[in-house]
Amino acid sequence: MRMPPFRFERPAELRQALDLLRELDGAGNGYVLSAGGTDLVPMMKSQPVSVGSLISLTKLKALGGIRLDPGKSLSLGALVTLGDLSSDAAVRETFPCIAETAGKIATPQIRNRATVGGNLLVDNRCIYFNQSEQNRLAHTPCFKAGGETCHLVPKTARGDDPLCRARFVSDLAPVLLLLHATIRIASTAGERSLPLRDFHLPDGISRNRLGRGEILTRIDVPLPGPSAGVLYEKLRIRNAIDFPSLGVAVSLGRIPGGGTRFGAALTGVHTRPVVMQVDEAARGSREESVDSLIAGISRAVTPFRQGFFPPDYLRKMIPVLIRRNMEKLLRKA
Amino acid sequence: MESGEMKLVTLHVNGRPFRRAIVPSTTLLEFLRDEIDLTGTKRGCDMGECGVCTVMLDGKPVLSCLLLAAEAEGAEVTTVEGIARGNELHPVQEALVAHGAIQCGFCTPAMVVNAVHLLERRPAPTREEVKECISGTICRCTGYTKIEKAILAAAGGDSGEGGKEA
Amino acid sequence: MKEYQVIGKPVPLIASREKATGKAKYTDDIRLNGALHIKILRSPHACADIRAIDASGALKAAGVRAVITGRDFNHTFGVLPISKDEPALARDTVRYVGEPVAAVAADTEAQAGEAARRIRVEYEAHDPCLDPRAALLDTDRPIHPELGRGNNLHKSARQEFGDPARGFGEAAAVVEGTFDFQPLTHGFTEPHATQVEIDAQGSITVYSSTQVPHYLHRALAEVLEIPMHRIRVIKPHLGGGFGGKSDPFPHEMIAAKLALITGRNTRLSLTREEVFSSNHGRHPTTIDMKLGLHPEKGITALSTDVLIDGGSYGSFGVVTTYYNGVLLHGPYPAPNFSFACDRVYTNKPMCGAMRGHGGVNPRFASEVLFDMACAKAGLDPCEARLKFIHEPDTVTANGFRITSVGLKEGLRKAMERSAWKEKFGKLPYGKGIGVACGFFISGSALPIHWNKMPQSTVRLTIDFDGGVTVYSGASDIGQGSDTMLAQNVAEVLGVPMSMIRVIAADTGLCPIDLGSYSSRVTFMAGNAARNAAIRMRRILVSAACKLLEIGEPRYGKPGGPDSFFRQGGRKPDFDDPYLGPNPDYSDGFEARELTFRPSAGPREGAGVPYLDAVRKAMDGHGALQTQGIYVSPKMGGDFKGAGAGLSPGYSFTAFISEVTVDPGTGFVRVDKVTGAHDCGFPLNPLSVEGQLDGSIHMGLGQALMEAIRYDPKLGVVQNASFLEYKMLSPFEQPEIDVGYDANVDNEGPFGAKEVGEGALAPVIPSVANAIHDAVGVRLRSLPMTPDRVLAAIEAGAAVTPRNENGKGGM
Repeated sequence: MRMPPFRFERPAELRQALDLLRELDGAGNGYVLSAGGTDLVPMMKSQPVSVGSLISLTKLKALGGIRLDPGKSLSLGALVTLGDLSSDAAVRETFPCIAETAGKIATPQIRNRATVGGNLLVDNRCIYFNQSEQNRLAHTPCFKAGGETCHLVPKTARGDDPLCRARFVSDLAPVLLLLHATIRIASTAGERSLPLRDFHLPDGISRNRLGRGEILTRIDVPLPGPSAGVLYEKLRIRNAIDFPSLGVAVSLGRIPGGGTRFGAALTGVHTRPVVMQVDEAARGSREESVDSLIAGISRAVTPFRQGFFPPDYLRKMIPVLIRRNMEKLLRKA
Repeated sequence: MESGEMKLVTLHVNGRPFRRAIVPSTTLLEFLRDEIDLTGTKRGCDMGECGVCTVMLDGKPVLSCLLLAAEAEGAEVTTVEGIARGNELHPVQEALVAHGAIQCGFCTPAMVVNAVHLLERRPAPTREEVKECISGTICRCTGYTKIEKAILAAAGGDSGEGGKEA
Repeated sequence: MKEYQVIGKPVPLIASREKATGKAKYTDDIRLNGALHIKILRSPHACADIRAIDASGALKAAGVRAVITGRDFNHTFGVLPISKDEPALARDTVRYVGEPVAAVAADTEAQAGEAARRIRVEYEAHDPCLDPRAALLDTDRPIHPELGRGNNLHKSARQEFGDPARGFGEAAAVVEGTFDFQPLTHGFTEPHATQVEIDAQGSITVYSSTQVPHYLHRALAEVLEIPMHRIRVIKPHLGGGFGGKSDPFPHEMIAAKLALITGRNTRLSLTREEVFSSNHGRHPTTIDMKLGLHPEKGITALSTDVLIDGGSYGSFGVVTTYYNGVLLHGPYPAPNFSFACDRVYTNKPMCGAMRGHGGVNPRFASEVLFDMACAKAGLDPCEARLKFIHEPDTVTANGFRITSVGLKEGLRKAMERSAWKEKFGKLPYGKGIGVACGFFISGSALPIHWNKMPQSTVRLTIDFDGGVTVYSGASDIGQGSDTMLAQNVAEVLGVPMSMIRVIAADTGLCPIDLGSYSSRVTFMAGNAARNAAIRMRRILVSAACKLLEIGEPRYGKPGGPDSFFRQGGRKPDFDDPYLGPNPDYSDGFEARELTFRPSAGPREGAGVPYLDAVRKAMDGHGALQTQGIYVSPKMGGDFKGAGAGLSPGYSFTAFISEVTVDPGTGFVRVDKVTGAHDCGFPLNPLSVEGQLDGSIHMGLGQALMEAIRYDPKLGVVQNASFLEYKMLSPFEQPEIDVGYDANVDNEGPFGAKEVGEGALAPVIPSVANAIHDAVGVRLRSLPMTPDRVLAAIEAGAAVTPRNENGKGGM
């Protein structure tokens, strides 16, 4: 299966890469950024049209490495592979949940190429979009494929927000959200950073706030995390390769003034990751807090029939998985 | 870029350099099979889902169908053809043969690569580690059972005889 | 038990070293000079008329050598002579999404792909018929108008034996249910591939990933309208079949046609998605079944009413239609039996044969009902099965000869090893144990093309160096049939495996074998190989006698097993190459380690080296050649469909599965499968175990997760990928402990029967029955996904009182 042709560039320095992007943007030429390529290459194989230039980021040292600043933060280069992330001693020590979650993504071979940055930027998926060129001909093209239809919500019209309900499938995002991660983004204008919770958008096409000419460089996770930590459970029919049908992260921490803070974040069941926290102090009993967390976060997501599990089942599993994992954390705390 | 624009690349495969002019969209799998006729690495889905195209890139298993050949420049690629020494099979290969872990054999090159990497990293793996190591490559014939046994045996964890009741 | 030299030993498959090193060539690994690449344009519609095809844009595109459409073919084809309904390229109508419409041959793959995009096809789309129930209704637009029917019925089968009404009246427990099954696909890892080499005379050699070189050979000759002798079909190494490569395919016709048109070599390999849309997998099925059980008499009556959705073309469908009923005549007698099955056409990719062909879905229904009946009648499900499994040398209600049955002892042992008595009904809530049995054919006794030719022929040659070459038309598809042939020959001749070379699945060199399907190869090609070897042995023993200056052995009347003669079979005659199945070949010599030794008489113990015997036999004669054949004995009744399911031998299987059900999520984990499989005498334990492991893997896939999903309006496959079509990963494969205690079948080669397919079916109901034991719910639809299990638990909890150990009742 041959990909449509493209120009290949592999800049050696971040500065060169950013300049290249600005140049391409200025000339109105298309490009895609590639790190591990494990999400991008299948997409390009299903597309009849060229992406223009493919800019490989794999030589950019500034985007590499795991740096631990004890007591302050753990900084993950966007190019760190999921394989390295899952086995890194510093990560296992400070945030075992990050290592464990990374180890549940895709397959060992894919984790040896796929990156942390790529996982946060992984394209949203839909059974009507993630199909081959031939298969998509059976449908009228959807918004995400450049058409004027949504097969999941047929009444959608251009101008609606969200326009596309393709689901968000990153496993790391819910965990990093509960750890209050921030991300750094570089452009020729310099570097900006923003909380991960502000990064993703509720639309399956625009997806996030990474702009033209920008490159995600690092992910910083502040230390210490929630006192009892974070747990992630990935619901999928088999314990290999699959994206999360539903991913549930929960956290348990202390509120600075006393009391417990319950957190949960979901992936796989909405157009973006959803995160929510409830403070016990404000809620009375622990059960009520967890109930209110479950009720709140369940209201915030809209699962569709997107493959293996029916949406009503996924809805049913949200409270089950939140409670189970919260109990595990409570036992630990 | 305009179609037909070629790029000259040099890839080191199984210890030998191969210099070829390719279109940049050429995957490593296409390079191996079509440019240098190393057909031991198989194409099963071409979309990163079946794992039969697994090769080692600087000693780590990767999917050659998802990797641009141009990205492999400067790295050492090892395919199944680079595992045995002449006619002397690697212990993993010997074990797969002896344990009946090879039926149709289409996943075997990838399983060999997966297992050789595992045993280099973990000379005495657990059953779970073996499962994990082969979980990215589909085998539809064996149910994985004999592949797991063979890898454990290659690591010295089993008699190596095969044949439950024989 | 007789001690053999090679037979019964764990023998690594002879191709495994070249497979382990990457040297083995599969079809797509072949490199033909200057081969043109082919891209097939496929239909985006499930149902449409083709108004016009404009290929001018494609023909002008760079590198394009030829474009063909349905107009380039005059004949349709199909594996069964009674349903040759498939075109190589759609002519006037398309019947499923993905049906080939046109094909391009170009210098490069990219050029072929680009040119295919430039072909303009004008379709007039119609509402597709996707629902098998709707397919039974009258319509103005039948999918196959050539049948002259006003609906989409393809095949109806009806059979009745005994008196079902009376049988149900005699039963102590009558249970019934409706069972529902999804479409499945084979999931082999090697996509279909074909390469065609053409010579200056216009003769072609077709390399193809096929299980059936002979049927492909026939179909190519017919579709291309050239004689068979101008076509040579070769199956290189093959990356898995499971029934999915047992039909001739459009892409094979297309590649050959384009080679003939261009005079150039051609090649193609399907994408994974094209493999999904070609399908030929397990039929979506609905079964209404009723079973009556009596504690002393066994099954008193069984009736079943089945609807199977065949998709767009016939494939093996007529056989599937019958197998849905006739394979219920085992593993227990069912004297009063009625069966109705309809196969309909719908606008989906066609369904055909898949491992356990036609027998898997009814087995699920019957074994779940058997379990329910046991519960109702107060019987232990294992004990009841033990009691009612067929007795050897009996005949079923529909006339199947049941010859060897070696399951009872195996099931008893499995009960002990799994601690059945301590566990069944006694495990804590969420843990369960369940049993199910099955049986399957060792090849179909009737050939697809009705003729009197042998079903299998094997030729042997020995040249002056003593090396033995086995020529067989059988297709090694990874199951190890080449190794099996070599073992049979090695054992008879007393030569090591290393001196035997197998040349197989090449219609230019090998005698005809019908192919690798219906678990026929070990029984049929194995017997043919064994008989060819016996003939060779007689030549060598004769030479040895000359060297020892003793008289030749008297062979007497060629022998054969009792049951064979008792129930009617072809008379063996040594002047005929056919020696009968599995005859005794004792000749007063022991042949082992390359030496022939008389085991009695004046020269007892004197050794004649094998090579001396070979050279003596060759004196003035040249290379030694023999041929062995296999023909099924005559069997079966005289009624419509009597031939379906007739086999010279049947395998029997019992599985006891242990599961853990998470009542909060509905997830089912299969922890362990203990069991027994009667494959007769196991020729190669490594292969037997490998087939059992693989059957369990595939069966559990159907049990727990596999299903093709079609868009309900458009008929397009929604999960045409290995990511979305879920097959078990290593983490879901359970611990397996299945015995295959040697039980000799009189007619199988060295006593062997099938092992490749029969074990798939019973593992599925054994899991369903274990789920019932775990959480008290009966699942009647496959796959038993967490959402269905959870819904059943919730529904059951609402209506079913818990019994004393916390489990639901019926």
